[in-house]
Amino acid sequence: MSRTILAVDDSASMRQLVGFTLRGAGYTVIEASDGQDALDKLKVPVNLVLTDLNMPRLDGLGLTRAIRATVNYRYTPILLLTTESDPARKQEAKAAGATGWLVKPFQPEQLLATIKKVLG
Amino acid sequence: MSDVSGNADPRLAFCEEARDLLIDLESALLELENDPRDAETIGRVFRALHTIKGSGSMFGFDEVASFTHNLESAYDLVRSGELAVTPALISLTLCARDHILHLLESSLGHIPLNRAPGLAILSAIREFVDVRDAFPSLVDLPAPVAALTEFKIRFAPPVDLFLRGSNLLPLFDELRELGDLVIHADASALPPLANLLPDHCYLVWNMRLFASCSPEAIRDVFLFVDDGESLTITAVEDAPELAAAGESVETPSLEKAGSTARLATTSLRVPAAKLDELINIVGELVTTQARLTRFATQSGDIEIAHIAEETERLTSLLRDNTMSLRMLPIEATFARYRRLVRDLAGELGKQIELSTVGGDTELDKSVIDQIADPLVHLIRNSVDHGIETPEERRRLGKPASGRLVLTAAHAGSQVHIQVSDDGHGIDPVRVRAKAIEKGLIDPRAELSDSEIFSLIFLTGFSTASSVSAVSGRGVGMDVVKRNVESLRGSIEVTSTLGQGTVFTLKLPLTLAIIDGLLVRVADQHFVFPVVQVIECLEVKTDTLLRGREFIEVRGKLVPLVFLHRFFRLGSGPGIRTQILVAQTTSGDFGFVVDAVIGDHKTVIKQLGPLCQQVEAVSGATILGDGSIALILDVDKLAHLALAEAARPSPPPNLVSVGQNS
Repeated sequence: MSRTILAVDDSASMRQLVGFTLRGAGYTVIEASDGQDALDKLKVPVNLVLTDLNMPRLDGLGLTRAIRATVNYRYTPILLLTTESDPARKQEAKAAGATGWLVKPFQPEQLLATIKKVLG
Repeated sequence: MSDVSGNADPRLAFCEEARDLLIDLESALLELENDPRDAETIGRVFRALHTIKGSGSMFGFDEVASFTHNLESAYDLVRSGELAVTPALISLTLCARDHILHLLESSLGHIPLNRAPGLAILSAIREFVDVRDAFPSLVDLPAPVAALTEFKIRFAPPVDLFLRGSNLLPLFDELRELGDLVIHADASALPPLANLLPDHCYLVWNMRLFASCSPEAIRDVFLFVDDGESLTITAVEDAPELAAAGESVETPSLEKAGSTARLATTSLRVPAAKLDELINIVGELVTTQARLTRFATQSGDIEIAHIAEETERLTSLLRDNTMSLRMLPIEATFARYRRLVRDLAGELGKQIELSTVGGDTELDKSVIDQIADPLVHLIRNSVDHGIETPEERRRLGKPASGRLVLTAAHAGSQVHIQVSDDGHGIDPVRVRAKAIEKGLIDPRAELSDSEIFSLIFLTGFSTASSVSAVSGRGVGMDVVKRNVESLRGSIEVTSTLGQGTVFTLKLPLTLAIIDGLLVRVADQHFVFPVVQVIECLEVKTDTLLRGREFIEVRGKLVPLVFLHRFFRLGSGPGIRTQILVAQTTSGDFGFVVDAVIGDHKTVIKQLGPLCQQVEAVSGATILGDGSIALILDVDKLAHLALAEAARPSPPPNLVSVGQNS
């Protein structure tokens, strides 16, 4: 059964790239343009959330905390896409409940490998 | 009893495994012949060769490894689509498979080594594979061993691991991609249930990884779940050696194919002798149990009767369980015949499809071992005499390819195995004519079809108008019948002319238990196999004495064996005497005993090595009161009696049963 990934990014080209890569690997992709949009779209079962950190309305960390506070998605893996590899930032992400992270820019293969690491 | 220690030679273990692989290889090849493009089957062939080669070199079977390597190269090309599967390649691989088996056996010193077929096969393989780069020197084969390191990994994750959506299973899978992995979960930090939070992680994992990677690569795997102090990785020096000496039995297979080793933990390979010993002991327990029950009933003590009842229940559970340990599916035996049928059909220019039904039917290993040969006879017979050539079949309006079906099914305490073909069947008229010609039946005898068919089991009977290299002179059938009967089974044949023949073997589920009839002669007890007993008669003793050696039963003369005389027991029968009429390979015989006591289902105990020469006794059993009863081999007994009677003796007198009660 195909697994569903919610891809959240305010950059349309980024969503397109991520969506293209993931669909090519057999995942079903739901796209959301920011954290709030993502929360609104969390109505169907989702196996993984892939989110950008800096976004309008609700950012990645906020989205992560909000997801962890839900009943249905509190154990869903969340991967953060970040441009900085600052350890403090990672610690913050972890504290918010993020499962892992991926540093931009990345190759499509790296994205898939990271997702495989989390989803198996 | 020989000592069977658990830690047998690993070389032997490899050979066992290799034999299994070779059997699987054979069936995979035969499937591949039907469907040459099936990637999964090609994969199976390749993996079997790959494992034999890899493990072979690890266990010192260099000859096996280097020979198999060439085949593996060929199938690597097949796998990548560069080489097509042809009947010639399959035949060659089958020959090569036989040669690998030969190499294995000769490496063990069972048979002298004959390299000639191997060289022929190798030169033939060279026609399939490009020699130049397809055979890298074997020396660099075990190279990965050198770089292999054992890592001890301890992972004590933070308790809130799951709250961040982490899942450890993919990480373990990722580790497995690096090398062979053994994981132990340490649950000692688990709090009492009342304090346990279900979404917290309390487990600690200790792992051993055999891989040729850097510690950093391992640390990378745990990138998201390591908070800096939860992970410790230590490399152990000289890993392969340690692994071989240590307790980690299932680890050191180098390839990813080592997954088979992990599977092995769900089933155990136990030497058959150990099981025999267990069955022996359980048998003794059952008889001791019977004594206990008897004593408990006699004592009238309710307490002890309760205990006896409970032990009786447990004992019978234990007995059934132990018996089931020896049960094997017949599939493996069936699989062997696919090769046989293929080769025979090729030899005789026939087209035959073999299908099997009920391969998962289980029966006792010793039965399986002993029916292999009779089944070969029956299959050969069907292929050679039963199924027609494609031309003949077309002429008869049948499909060119003949059907041979092997069926196994349970029927009560028996297993029925059928060999059926859709060939031209047995012609009763020809069988009858042949039997008269051979002097086996009277020309005036009126026989039903089934009686006529059973004539083919008589010694010296053959209807095959031509003698072929495959099934010889038809001497097989009487041997088949005798073999089946020695297993306490029976064989039947039904046939419809022009439509086919069905042979049905009825076999006991196990040889370890016998359904017996307990009798008494003087003060001794004996057990007759019930399947062979036709009827029990009671006659006045004075009509039997005076040296009468025959009795008339329903119009048939039945020779008598006086067990008193035969075993030199007591003075002879009392006023009335019992006769057991039994079917033997030498015809029906009457056995004169003092009393028939009744049914006796019992575990057979083999006689000790000192008594191997004893004829007419097939085993022994211990009775409820602790005394011993011998189990009679009725066929041998009749045979011995006949031999004795062949010496000069007075002419027989008749006793008619009709006048006796």
